Amino acid sequence: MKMSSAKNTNNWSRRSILAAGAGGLASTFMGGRVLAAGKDTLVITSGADAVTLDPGASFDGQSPLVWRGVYESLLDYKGNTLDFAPSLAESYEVSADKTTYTFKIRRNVKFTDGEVLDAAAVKFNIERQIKIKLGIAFALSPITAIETPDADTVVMKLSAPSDGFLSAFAALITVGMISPKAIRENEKDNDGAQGWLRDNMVGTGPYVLRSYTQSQQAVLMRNPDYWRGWDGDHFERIVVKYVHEASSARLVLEQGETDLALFLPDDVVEALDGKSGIKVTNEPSFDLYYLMMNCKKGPTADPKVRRAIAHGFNYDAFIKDILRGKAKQAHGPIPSTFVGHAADTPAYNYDPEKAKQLLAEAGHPGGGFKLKYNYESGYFWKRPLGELFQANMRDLGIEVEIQELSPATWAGLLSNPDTADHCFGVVWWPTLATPYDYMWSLFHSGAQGSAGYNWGYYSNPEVDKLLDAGMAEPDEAKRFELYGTAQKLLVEDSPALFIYEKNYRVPMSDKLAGFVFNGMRTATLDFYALRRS
Amino acid sequence: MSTLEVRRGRQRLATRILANPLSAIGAAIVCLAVIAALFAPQIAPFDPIQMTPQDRLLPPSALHWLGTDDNGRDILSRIIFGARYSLIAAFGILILAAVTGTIIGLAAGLFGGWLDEFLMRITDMFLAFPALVLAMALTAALGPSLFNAVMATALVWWPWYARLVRGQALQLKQEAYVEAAVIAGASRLRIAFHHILRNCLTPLIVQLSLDMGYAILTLAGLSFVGLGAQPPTPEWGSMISVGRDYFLDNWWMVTFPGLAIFLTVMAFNLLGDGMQEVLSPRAPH
Repeated sequence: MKMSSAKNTNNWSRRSILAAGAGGLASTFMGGRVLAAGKDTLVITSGADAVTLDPGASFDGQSPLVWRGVYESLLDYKGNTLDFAPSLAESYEVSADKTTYTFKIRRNVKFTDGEVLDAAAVKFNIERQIKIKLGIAFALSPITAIETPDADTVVMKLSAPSDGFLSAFAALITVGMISPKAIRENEKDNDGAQGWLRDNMVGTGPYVLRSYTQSQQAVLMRNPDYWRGWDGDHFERIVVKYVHEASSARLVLEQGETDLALFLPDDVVEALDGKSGIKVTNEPSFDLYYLMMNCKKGPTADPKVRRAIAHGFNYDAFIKDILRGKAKQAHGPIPSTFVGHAADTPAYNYDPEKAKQLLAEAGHPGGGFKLKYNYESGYFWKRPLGELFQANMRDLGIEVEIQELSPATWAGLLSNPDTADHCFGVVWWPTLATPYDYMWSLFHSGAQGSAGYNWGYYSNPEVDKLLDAGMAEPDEAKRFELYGTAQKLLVEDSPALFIYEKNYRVPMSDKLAGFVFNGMRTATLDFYALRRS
Repeated sequence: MSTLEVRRGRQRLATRILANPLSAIGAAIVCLAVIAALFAPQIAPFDPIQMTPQDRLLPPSALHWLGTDDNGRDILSRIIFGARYSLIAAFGILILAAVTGTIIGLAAGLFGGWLDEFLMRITDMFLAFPALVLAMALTAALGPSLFNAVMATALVWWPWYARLVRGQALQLKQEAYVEAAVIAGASRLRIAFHHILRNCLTPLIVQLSLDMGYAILTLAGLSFVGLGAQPPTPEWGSMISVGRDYFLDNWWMVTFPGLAIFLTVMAFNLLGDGMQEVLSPRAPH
């Protein structure tokens, strides 16, 4: 499968998910009109701003929170599993050769502007997604035809089997169904109404957008005609407040003014654990944290040097002391919690003596070279990671220069092969439920520069071949074997330090019930399922 | 005036400044900061950048007087070393800005005419922007580092000195002794530097001593938003920036660097006020 479209056409990368906001000079407390969490109102804070309310137009990690209240896709995940559950599609069928996907669309579902959701509306939305080339569009490129034999049936034909294709209709970033009428009426310069949808929403979901001010607040109200109905206990109103100071977000949560806080620094979350009235989730996630190295330029172009560096980093100090033991060292590029992780993938141990010896063998006795490490403002875990890396490398005689940049500058610098020669931290979680998602995005030759997130510019034809073969392999056992070999090759070549995988920790009021975490939909909430106990 | 009289005059000056208790306090704190900066390696109990993650976030104790930060580094040692960065960088800003501003101000004041018009319109352009915002934009464009923060701030600050020196030059150029020098056939350069600049020095020095505090504050502000000193540099502003996420539980991480900035800036202001009172009692401020 070719993933030709740019995943990061938007300046903001998905890594923005862990942004805590750069913060201004003034530490602003949430003054003024704080909407207190009343009985019928759910109030949550987010430390990172939504980029757009258009579910098709971004690949960042913080926008989907609001999308999920208003927009739905064809499928969903069952609880915390990778099994699909019906959503706007009542059922689906996949042909034996895995190239024809047939969806039965749910009847009697309407958009909040009165438009009917039928096969034509679904087709329209998928075509719009492909046209605007943003968000999940990259995963739709194998589609060769979309047919609507009747009003309730959508048939997609693929050029070849494509591992993880169904998850494109259930993921965090997915094809959210937007009212075709709203898109047609608000289209400008053939933009698929991206401009209008940036701060307007017309979906089929449980909530409708009442008001929105970017980087301040979004208010959602119940959609009275929601197809699942309003029996049982549900919130009337959802308020998402964008609060850029972690301490402020923590205070309002402790005081019971908010119900849940997203995008807080690890240390703030840990400090909240055990406070009265607050519970902190502790669920296995699919997040993996990497320290990428440039594999094309400078000393790190030599795999021997990269292996030396991998032995020179003190994983335990970072995991046990800085993360307070709330993580564990990764074995290779795929989290051990995720499907397709090869259990026998080795990991590098911290062994400075061996690192020095490997450096000498690579022709750098006593180190003696310089590396750069850069990170984006507000990404709280990247600074301490860089500082420990700097200290560990100093022990090997390698000088590391750290620079903090704005997220846009950072992405611009690294996505350009001419300017990229840095080490940097990355967290990745999957959009598609396949190991291919991680390995392609970060290590495939085709994902270099603006085509993906291979900003260490690693290129190994053997890895590329294994990944491409795995992607098109319909048999799961064979597929995982191919991916497994690729994982071990990547550890061997060490294009990145595979540092840690971490449980998902989000602090919330202990009165909040109905929260289910699914690693595929990290940092979002199923507002409809939440209630106050 | 004989050499002796000059020396006496200087002694009187120092005595007069120190006679004011507030200025004396200011001078004492400034002395402390300078000593900390000069002898940081001898005074500091720990290496300011050595990470000891197992000792992270320790409260003030007999071992770590001001506690440790999120990387287990001793905060007292970091503040002592931080004095170096703050003082040297602030001094750099003032020197760069004052030298540039003085040359431009002198040229504008002495030559007058279209040159004056031209140079003053340029200073107007700079002064029309809020200084900190302009410095932030420039540093962001140059790429964040302490050196670039110093350059950007100096670039934003020189117009104040240019204005000051131009005003003085315009006034002094009417003085009888300058006219006498002109009649005596002194060259323009000699008049500019020997007769005019010398007599601009007093208000310039007063201004510089008052601005030192603001320079430290501006740099700390730039470092706070991530545009100044980069890790692991123990710069006061960046220490506060990191510490603000911790201040509810680990108050020492922001409090002590904050106090260091507060005391140093206040000390320079007190000293500056004292100097202003003594040196130019009529100068409006």
